[in-house]
Parts: sequence; C-alpha cells; structure tokens
Amino acid sequence: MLLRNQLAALLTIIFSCHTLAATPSPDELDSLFAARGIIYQQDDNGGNINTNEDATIYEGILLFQKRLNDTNAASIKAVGDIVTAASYDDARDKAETVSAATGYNPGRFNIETRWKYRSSDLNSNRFGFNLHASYGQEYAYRSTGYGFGLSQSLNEESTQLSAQFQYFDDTVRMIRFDGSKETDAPRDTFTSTLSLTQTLSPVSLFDLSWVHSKQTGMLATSFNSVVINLPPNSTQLEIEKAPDLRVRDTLSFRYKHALGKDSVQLGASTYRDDWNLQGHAIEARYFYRIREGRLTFEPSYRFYTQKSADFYAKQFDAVKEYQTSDSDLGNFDGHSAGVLVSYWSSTWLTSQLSNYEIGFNYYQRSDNLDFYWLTLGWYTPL
Amino acid sequence: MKHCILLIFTLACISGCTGVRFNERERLAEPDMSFSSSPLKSEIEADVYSAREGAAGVFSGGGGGGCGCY
Repeated sequence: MLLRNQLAALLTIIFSCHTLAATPSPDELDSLFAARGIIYQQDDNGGNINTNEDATIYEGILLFQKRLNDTNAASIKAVGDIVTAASYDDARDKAETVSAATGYNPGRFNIETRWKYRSSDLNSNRFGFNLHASYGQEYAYRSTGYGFGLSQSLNEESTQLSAQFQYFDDTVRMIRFDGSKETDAPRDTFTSTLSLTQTLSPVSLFDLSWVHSKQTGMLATSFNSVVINLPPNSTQLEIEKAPDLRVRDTLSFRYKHALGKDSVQLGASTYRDDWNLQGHAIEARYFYRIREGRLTFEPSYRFYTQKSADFYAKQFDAVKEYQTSDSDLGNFDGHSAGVLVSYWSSTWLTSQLSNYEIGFNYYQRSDNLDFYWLTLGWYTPL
Repeated sequence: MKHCILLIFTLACISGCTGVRFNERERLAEPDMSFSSSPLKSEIEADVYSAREGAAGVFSGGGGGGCGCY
C-alpha cells in the first residue's frame, strides 16, 4: 500500500498538467486509429545446432476502423516487416546468385480488410457477424486469406458465444538451402475457433476457446536443411521433409478477476497435433492501476513446455521419409516474462483520450535460443 | 474434437443459469477487464509465440497459415 501511494504521488506530479477523466469503455464497433511497432531480437546460443538462427525484425502495424452506423463498422489493417534473419538471408542470397535475380526484398507486408455487423443495442442479446480478407507477401511466401465469424450474446450479455472460420490459400517459393529452386508449392490452412466468454460475477469472468486447424500441402520450411552423419566421419546436408497434412487442436482457458482497482488474469492452454507435437502453457498477468485507471502496469509471466514432433532430431544417421532439425519443432521449455505500461492521455489529434503503451518481453528457451521484443503502441478513439 | 464441442456446449448451458445484470457491470466495463484490452496487442504476442513455438492458437485464434514465419 505504501508503494502504491508513493508511486501514485510521483505520477501525480509528473502528469499534473492533465485533468482526470474516466478511461473510455471500448466498444468493438467504435471508430479508432491504432499504430504499433515492435523490435524483435533473437540470439542464437543454441536451438538448431546446424543453423545460424540470429534474427532481427522491425514490424509496424496500422489499423483504422470506421463506425458506419449503429450496427456496422469497417476496418483496414496494414503490416510491414523488415527482417534480418541469418538462414532466411542465406537462402535468399543463394537463390539470387543462382538465378541472377536483382533487387532487395527485406521482409514482408500484409493488408487486411474487415467488415463487422452487430445487431442493435435495443436488443440486449445481440448477434454479430464479420467478414474479412487479407493478402500478404514475403520473399519466399505469399498468402491470401478469407474468413467469417458469428457471435451471439445470451442472458443479458453475461454469455458470449462466438465462432470464427479462416481459410488461407498460401504459396511457398521452393528455394532450397543450396539456392536451387523447384516449382512453387501450395499450403492450405483451414482454421475454426469456437469460444465462450462467461461473466461469473460483477468482478470476474472467464474465456474458453478451442482452435481446430487443418493444414495441407508444403508444410516444411523450404530452405531448412538437416545433417546426415555418414560413416566413418563425414556429413551430408539434406532438405527438411514434413508430412503434407497437419491437424492441430488447442484448448485454452483464461480467467480474470478484479481485485479492487487492480485485476489479475490467469490462463492455461494445451495443444497437440498429428505430428505428435504437444505443447502446454500457463500464464499470469497482473493489472496494477493507478490514477483512476489512466496508468496501468501489467507484469506478466508465461511458461511453455513442448514435446517434439515425431520426426525431429538434431542430426540423423540416414535419410528419412520425414526429417527436421527445426528447433521450433523440438523439445524445450520456455519462460517468458514482461511488463507493459499503458497511459491514457489527451492528444492534439482528437478530443478523445488516447492510449500510449510501451512494453518489453524476454523469452528464455531451455535450448538456449533466446529472444526479446520491445513494443510501442498508440491508439485513439475517433 | 467431440469432447471439446461437448465441453463448450455444457459450459454454455451451465452459464445460462447465472447472470450479472447490466447495472452490476461497472467494474467489468473497464478496459483492464477485457481479454483484448487494446487493439493489436494480443495479435503481436500471438505472432511472436507462434513463430517460435510448435503450437498455434494458444490463448488466441489462428491455427497457422498466412505467414512463412522465417
């Protein structure tokens, strides 16, 4: 309590030029503009021992949503990445050398449009519908996505049921680790998400979701390689090979509880697929709120443990039907901790309060492939 | 798969028995009580985790696809 009072007093001095106003309650159809940037750094001290997995990624996202009337809203979102990743750059450089291609394509972009409908507020048990489409492109990957979703509130909106369906029609450019090229290959993904959000009391609620996904086509990373040990003391590089079907299921549960001005969020999730990869995660977040909720500190911790896919190995003694040394499909535990600070303040752009965020997360994997990321966010109701 | 559908359906039926009236939801309406409190926040986290973990859709929608993920 003493710490809270001292912190509140300090921040009162710092932000004393602003008058207090209640933070706006979000509504999914409200007009808004949001911008977010991320700097991601990955340091390869382990992971796949055959590959340099150092990576630096700068990502920017812009979102504009316009409320069209009481029941409809439309949005457009643009994502751009600049990527420096050792294995990715290596495959690209070799491919450009082999093909004599010119130009420089450092990352990816993605654009998504979405339309949302929600029945009138006059009906307390509201029905919602949304449609969306997206297109994305990277040096070695193209994606076209479509989707729609349905939602229904019940019991004076104490209960929210929703279903979301997505289809991605993707194309993998088949650039191998040695720079050779093969015919482009398709990768199709169909995902359905069912979720239930239930208010339990005036201070608590939970969310339960099930994600089922089916992927077909080229599911290996085209420029990944594996090491084959040959007797007596030599090795040979071979391409990564994965089954052309992957069925994935994830069940997640989150619980949120208000503790006076503050709140806590707890979550658990379990995942498995037919490559026999299993993953389990638990998560805790605390929302420490001061200045009438205008300033929030959000420390978080997440633990993830993974059992590898059946065809994963660090090295192989013979060429297999399926083989990967991709460390993301291996055995590891991951500890992730972070803090996000958000602040509501008036701005010159609109008469509404805007939200500013800065966050930092560090992820430590037991196979020593560690990474961290810094996020900067801003959004304003319009 | 059937078990998951049954579980969600059962919880939906059970939850229908309890309700919190509109006038009791003042605290629930504040931003920190939303599972997606600010736009794009959970999306970035999901992208990072799904790129470096074999699982997908943990605490969020999306089950793969749409990204080569380097």
